[in-house]
Amino acid sequence: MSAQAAESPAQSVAPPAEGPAQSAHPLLRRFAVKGVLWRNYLDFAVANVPFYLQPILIWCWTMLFFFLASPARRAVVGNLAIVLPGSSVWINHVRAFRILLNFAWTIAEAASFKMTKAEFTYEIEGREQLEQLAATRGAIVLTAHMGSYDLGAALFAQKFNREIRMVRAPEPDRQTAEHLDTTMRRTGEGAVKIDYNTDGAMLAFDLLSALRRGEIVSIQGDRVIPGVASAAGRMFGHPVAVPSGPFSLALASQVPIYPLFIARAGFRRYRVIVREPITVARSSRARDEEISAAVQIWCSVLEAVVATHWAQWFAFAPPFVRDARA
Amino acid sequence: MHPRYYFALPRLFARLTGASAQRSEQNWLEAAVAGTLVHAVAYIFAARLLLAGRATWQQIGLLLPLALLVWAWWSVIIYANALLIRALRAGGFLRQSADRHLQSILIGVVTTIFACDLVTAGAWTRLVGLAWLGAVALNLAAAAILALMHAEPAR
Repeated sequence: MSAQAAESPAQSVAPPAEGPAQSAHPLLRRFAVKGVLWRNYLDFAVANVPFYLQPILIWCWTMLFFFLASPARRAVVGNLAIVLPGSSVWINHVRAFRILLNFAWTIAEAASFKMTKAEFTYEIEGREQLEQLAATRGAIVLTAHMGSYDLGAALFAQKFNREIRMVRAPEPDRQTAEHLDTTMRRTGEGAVKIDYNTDGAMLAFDLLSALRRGEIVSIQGDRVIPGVASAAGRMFGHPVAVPSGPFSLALASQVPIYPLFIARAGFRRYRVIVREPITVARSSRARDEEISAAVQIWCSVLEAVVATHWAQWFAFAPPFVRDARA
Repeated sequence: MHPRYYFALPRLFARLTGASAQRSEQNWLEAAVAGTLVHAVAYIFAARLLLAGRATWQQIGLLLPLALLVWAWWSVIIYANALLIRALRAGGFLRQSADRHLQSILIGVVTTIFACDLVTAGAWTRLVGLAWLGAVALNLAAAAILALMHAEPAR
């Protein structure tokens, strides 16, 4: 890790997203599903619970959150009905439990990496593309809420000695957001910088400058939050809304978009999946057509990866347009 | 790549077969076997303590709440251990070891006490207690042999 990276100025302070969690009483906010209490508990557990007791404890905690986090559970069951057509709603509840269990494992393992510098092994699918990405000057990494994207960014920064700027959706709770900031600073050892996609045009200009300076910007391309520009695509035969920002940025800066996913492959083992870069070249076609074509390529890539790794797609908000309207 | 282990007994076997005896916390099988045994000993101990003498239908009905109780109990024990470790560290002791390794020793002691009770209880629960005590004895012996062989220090 470069000294320059380690001494980089403090990351932007995470703005809390407006929502029910912000309007609740401060004490209740701590205990909310997205409250900071659980993050602190996880840090304590990772530092104190021997690794061989973790599997059963993680299973028990998942069971608790399966009942507590009902909006997330419903969203996952809704997604599964589309991803696995013809599947039974009851079986999809069991699958939703599996997805929440995988989520629990990934956040626990990311916390282990942060707190104890636990060892991880990883295999690479698309080594050639990953090496291209590491060597390229300016690129957008388009990823999804899948596997351990935080851990993946930290490992990438460490392996290739590159800085990454991660664009995240803001957390609904300020303390949780601050906790995540600290986590990413510690996990990425200064090489992973966080931006929150609430800053509107200023953030877009900032990211464009970063890309033109040759930096790598990582954006999650499977969830649209209110107030963020979206583009329409299709996945599994259904319309989806994905953020259009990454594609506009790629067009403006003329950098490639690398689809990259980090799937959990076993106990402290991950698979980095990198696909062929998507280019949004300036041509005689209209800007919207260029973006629309790139969005559809991204949707096809995401669909193929989700079809294989549906148990690790942590889409806890409905991405499909039909569900979003509901 | 050869698998690596955390506990002394598999590390000794690994060393005897020419593989690495270096400690690792990455082995899923080890985590599953040791974790299941620890939880089984604690759960059966709690079941004997709290459910003995009740009607069969009550025992069956209370199995799940008991699991939650044991889970909560582990949380309390781990927190109490953390306070104890902090107090010992404040006194200048055990500053070199990681919290989770010290917790592992304390959890091992508590589980061994429960296992001793299961051994004296008779019936099939004796087997679970004996399995734990046998595993602890073999592991301690393996740790001693590894230490004599100048492998990584035993924990």
